[in-house]
Amino acid sequence: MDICRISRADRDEGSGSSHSDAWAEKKKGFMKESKQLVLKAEGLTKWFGEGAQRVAAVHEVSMDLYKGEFVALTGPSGCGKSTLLNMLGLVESPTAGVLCLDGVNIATACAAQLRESRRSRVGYVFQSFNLLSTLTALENVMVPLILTGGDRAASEVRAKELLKELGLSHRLHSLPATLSGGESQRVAIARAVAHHPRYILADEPTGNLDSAAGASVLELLQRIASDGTAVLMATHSDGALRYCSRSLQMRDGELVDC
Amino acid sequence: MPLWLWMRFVVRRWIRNPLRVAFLVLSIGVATTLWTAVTRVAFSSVESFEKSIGVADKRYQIRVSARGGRLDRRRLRDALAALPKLTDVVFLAREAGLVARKRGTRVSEDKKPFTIVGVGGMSAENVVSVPSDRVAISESGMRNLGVTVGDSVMVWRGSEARTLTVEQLPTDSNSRFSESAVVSLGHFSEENSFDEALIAFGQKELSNQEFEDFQSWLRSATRSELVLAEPLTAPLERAQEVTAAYRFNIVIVAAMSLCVCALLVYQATQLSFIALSRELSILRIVGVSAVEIGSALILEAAIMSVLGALIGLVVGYPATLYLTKSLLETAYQLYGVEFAELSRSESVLRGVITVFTIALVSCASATIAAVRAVCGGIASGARRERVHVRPLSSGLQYGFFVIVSTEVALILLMLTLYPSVVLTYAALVSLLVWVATAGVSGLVAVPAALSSRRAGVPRMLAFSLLKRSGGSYVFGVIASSVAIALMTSLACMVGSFRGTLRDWSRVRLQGDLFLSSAIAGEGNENLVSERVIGSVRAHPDVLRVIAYREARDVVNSRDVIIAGTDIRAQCARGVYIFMSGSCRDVESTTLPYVVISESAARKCALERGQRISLQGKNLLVAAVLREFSTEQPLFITDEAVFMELYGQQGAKTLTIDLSDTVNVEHARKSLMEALTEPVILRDHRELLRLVEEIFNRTFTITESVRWVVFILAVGGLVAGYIQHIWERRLDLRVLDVQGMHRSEHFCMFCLEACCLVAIPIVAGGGAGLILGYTLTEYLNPLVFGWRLQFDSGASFGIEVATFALLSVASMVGGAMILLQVITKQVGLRDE
Repeated sequence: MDICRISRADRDEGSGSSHSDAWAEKKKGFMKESKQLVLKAEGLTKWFGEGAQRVAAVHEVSMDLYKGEFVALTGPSGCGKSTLLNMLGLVESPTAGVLCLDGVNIATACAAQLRESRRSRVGYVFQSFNLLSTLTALENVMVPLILTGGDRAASEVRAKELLKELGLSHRLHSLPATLSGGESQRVAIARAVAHHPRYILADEPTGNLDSAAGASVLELLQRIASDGTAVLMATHSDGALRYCSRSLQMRDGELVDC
Repeated sequence: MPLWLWMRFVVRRWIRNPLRVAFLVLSIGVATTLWTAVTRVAFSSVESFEKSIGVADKRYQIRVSARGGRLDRRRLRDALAALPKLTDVVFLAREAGLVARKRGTRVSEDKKPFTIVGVGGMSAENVVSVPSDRVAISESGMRNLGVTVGDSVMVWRGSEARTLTVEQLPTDSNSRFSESAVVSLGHFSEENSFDEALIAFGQKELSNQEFEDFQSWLRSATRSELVLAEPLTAPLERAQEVTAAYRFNIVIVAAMSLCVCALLVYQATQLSFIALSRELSILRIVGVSAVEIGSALILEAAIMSVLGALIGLVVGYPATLYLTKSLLETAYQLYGVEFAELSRSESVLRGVITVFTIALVSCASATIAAVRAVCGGIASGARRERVHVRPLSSGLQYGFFVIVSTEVALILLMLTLYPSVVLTYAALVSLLVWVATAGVSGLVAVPAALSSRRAGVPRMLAFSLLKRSGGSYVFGVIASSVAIALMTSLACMVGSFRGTLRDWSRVRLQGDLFLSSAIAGEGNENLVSERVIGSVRAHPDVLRVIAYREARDVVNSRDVIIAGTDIRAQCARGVYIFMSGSCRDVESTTLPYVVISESAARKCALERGQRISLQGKNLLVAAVLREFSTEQPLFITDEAVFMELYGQQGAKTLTIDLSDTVNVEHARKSLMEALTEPVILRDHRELLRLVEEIFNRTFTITESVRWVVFILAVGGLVAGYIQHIWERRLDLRVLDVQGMHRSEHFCMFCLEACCLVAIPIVAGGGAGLILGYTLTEYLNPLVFGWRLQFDSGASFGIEVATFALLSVASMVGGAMILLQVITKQVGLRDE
């Protein structure tokens, strides 16, 4: 909570200060803040196991995510990308560290608060799509809208608009089993953005797709970011980096390049 | 597939998903338990029954009984002495000819007098050899008398009494009667008479002519006292008819339970294999052939089925022993027949057969499931989304439902027009097929009808699941629907029996006190003497006494009961429920008349207005009444006519109406003190309680079967549903990540479970009601000769209880899986 407060204080001070070495940093910070800080992680750590078996999957990771950014998270397999994404996505709680969402530390929030935040502020795109198999494409996109309290008819209109925008107007009533990989991932992206989340976490969204479908998905994520939603994408693909505004590299549970 | 690969593939999967294995093994275990219970209980009971009544014993016997319940032992023995092939004559004193009691104690009026088998005649080997100072008493007899081996008891008949030492009467196939005691006839004078005699011949069978000759000779030798001589094969044939019908019913029930078991096993196996679809596709992609995969799956199913069958057997065997014991005890309490012990060595063979049968059924189910699992395209199961989508064709289901409904309607119409046993069974089978199709059609129709454009996420998810995954639940719904239909029909039958008999006994058993003989009357019969009747009539508290007398005769070649009572007085008291005719008809009849029971009307093909001949006297059938005290044809004559036909003999019971101001208990005590002979004097409430107790005992087994079916319904559907939730763990996790509340998850389970439970309950309950009505309305009159008032009350309670239990069990199972999904954070990647 303190970190979140300092950040706010710094932001306030930064606008009026004109000297000291810290000024440059603060100015840089101000520049970022002006882009609106969505998510701030400070010293995030996640341990798995007990005693001698204890392993740090993520160690002392600090990072910011701003509105409209499309950030790539790269690194070799097993370096902790997914664990970090899970913590940022409020799916797993960190062992230590601070996680501020819109200026509030939610690392220590209760399960209900985390669920509420996940429901309204976070969008997810998974490598294997994870569409609900018994719902149609349209119904899959409607789920987060209805969960956030949306009216069923309005949700349907919004979901149809999104799918139409993503070129899936002819697949509205298709079941996931009948969609191609690229179509499934576009439905998954539509589901992730439907309820206007503050940020989207994408875990290797192109991992199961061919290059053309992958490029299409990346373009889509880039467009979403440019529309103002922050996107953090874990990826192995170097080609994906050119779509991103910046990249973070992880190695052995730590961020090595920011 | 190489064995090592299969071992790794299967065994690791088992280790990683023990719950999935547990579901399958438990499903098979439940199926085995049921099958073991149904088949063993049923067949063992039939065998024991047949063994006890001597169907299995091929010795040729003739039953001889005498008018008035007395057979002169010396006269019969003398007559039979000349017969060369005779091996045994066993004299039977039924209905309390002889009574044993502990020395120095009073004869309790609550103790039911029991049969004494007198060993005498040419040989004693038919029953048991008893030394002259001993009395051999059956285990139940000893239990009821409160004596043990070595005790001294007094055995007497009429005025003759002997003190003898008790020894155990071995129960074997020839020990035909419960609460029996065997004594040497040497204790009693030759003049002492008996109710019946069994004459056994040392050859298999007499020809018809030989039998006719023997019967004529016996009639002349024993003069007028012989009323009936018939080969024991006649009652045995009737018993065989009963047991054959019983066997047939059991075979149907066993076959149905096996079908339901097969459905359950298939459902469990199929769901287990559906979960494997991706792995199977991958195996096929890397070059493993469909045949190799299929063989591996069948082998896996075989191992699980043997495991499940063994578990089922371990659980089922004690349950079976308990049920069999309960069945035989009930039969003993009802019919007084002590059944032969069941051989335990046979049960080992039955166990092996059960395991083999269940394994065979499971393997057959697994083969079908395996063929379906590997028959799709190689890549068909490679995507998770394809695994759970198994929609049902609505057109096909509705079409089939309409065809079967039409067939059922036609059969029921034919049954109404031409009632017959064959059509009743046809209706039964077609109704069960209808249940299955109705269940599946419900699975298509209900989600479609209930899903709404305004539904929230839980409702949208629940109904879309049922709509698009209906194929996964088909067999569970069929099995449950059939089970619930059986349960409901049993509940209806029991309810109808209970309701009818309760109402009937309340009407019939009017009167303040009922008197019957405690032990022996003047002539050693279980009858109330005229002296007792006179004493009761003379008592100042007594307003009216109605005597009920009984004899046996033959009408239209059927053994019938002839009763004699004051019909007009009974009519005035309103104790008769008439089916045809009325009290006014009876009172206005000027000719000698008889009132007959419904069973007599059906079995002797008689109706009101016809004439019958009893002992050469013509009697008019004045009315037909409902009578549930016996399924044997009953002819009630006026007391004076009865006396004229069958002579002066004691009454079987007396109904006593007391004056209005008299306290019943006080009058009862006063009467007991006034009567010198031992009698049983019960008040109205006590008798009703006794009657209801007998009804409850009668329905013990039906209740047991109903519970077995209940377990089947609950086990099958809940296991299927929970297994399906288990396979949807990733979906639940995705919803959790998206922020769905636990309450919303729970609401989804609630809707799914309630819908899945409601479908078989509505389909099975509806069909069960029709089934119960068909059996009550058509089968009962055809088999027993009486019609019951249909009562469906009990079945609704059963259905509500089933619905509640199934729903709660399903929801609890779903909630536990959800908790595991959330707390253990199931991975969001397929692997």
